[in-house]
Amino acid sequence: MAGGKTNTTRIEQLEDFTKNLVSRLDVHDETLKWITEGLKKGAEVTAEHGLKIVSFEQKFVVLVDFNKYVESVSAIQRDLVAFRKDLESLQKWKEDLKKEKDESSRRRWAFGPNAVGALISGFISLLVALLVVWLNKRP
Amino acid sequence: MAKDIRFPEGEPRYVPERDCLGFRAIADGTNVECLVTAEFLFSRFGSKEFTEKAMRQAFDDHRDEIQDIARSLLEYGWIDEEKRLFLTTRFTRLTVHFDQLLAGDPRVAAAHRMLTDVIGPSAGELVIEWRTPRENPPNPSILLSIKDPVIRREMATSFPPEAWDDPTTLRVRLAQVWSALLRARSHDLVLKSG
Repeated sequence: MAGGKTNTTRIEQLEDFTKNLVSRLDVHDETLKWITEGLKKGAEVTAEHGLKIVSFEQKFVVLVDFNKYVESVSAIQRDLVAFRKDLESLQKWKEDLKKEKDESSRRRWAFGPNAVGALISGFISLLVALLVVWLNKRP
Repeated sequence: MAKDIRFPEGEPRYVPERDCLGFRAIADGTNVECLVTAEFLFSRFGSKEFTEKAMRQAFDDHRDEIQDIARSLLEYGWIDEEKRLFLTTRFTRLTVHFDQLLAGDPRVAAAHRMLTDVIGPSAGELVIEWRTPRENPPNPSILLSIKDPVIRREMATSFPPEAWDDPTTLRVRLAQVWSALLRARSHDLVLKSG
């Protein structure tokens, strides 16, 4: 026999080879099965993540809209501040105007007694002058 | 893992298409047919020739021993889809050692179960060790080694804490270790065959 081996020995070695290869194939089959299961789970998780991403995107759109609303509210707040300042200015102007009006009224009333005094004084001077003239004309 | 295993009384039946003797077992209430090959009876139990009569004689002479082997395989749940258990010359003989710290660890028990599922009933003689590394500072990894005393090869791997999170990845890693040992066996056979 070639190699000094009988056919029985060769057959036994082939049997061992076959058993070993079958075992190795079994392991690979099982491994492939688990990897496939793992991939399937991974795909399911990815699909769930995809759905979550869509949900987040929708929420982001809402947030972006909300951000715009916040900006609008900020602009309105700024307008309100400006409006309040205008109102305060208007109030101040109104108070100033009232003060001026009071002052002019007060001044007007302050002029009256002086004029009356002057008229009375003039009238008295006139009376005194007429009295002097009358007394001078008396024989 | 089957716990309640019984072998009902009765003569084994001869299965000519497989050249086997079949006998019944009941594992946790499930009927299982155990098939012991003529080769196995011949090489291990002194069957003189490959005839039904010689096989029956060897079976009767070593019934308890054969049933003990069947019991050890049934305990690992190594039955096929058709509820059969094959007893061959390459039946799996496991010597298992757990470090004291790992003996009650449910993760290690589950991983060992996964490993025995991968190894199956025809793996021959193996020594499996689950150890914790003796390192300072302490290493939280768990070490696994599978030895084949016949070819004197050992394959080892370590499982860091995060390796236990995903059972699929854990299974694949266990299969890789076992696959590496089978590859070593193939190389040994190639060398032996010349």
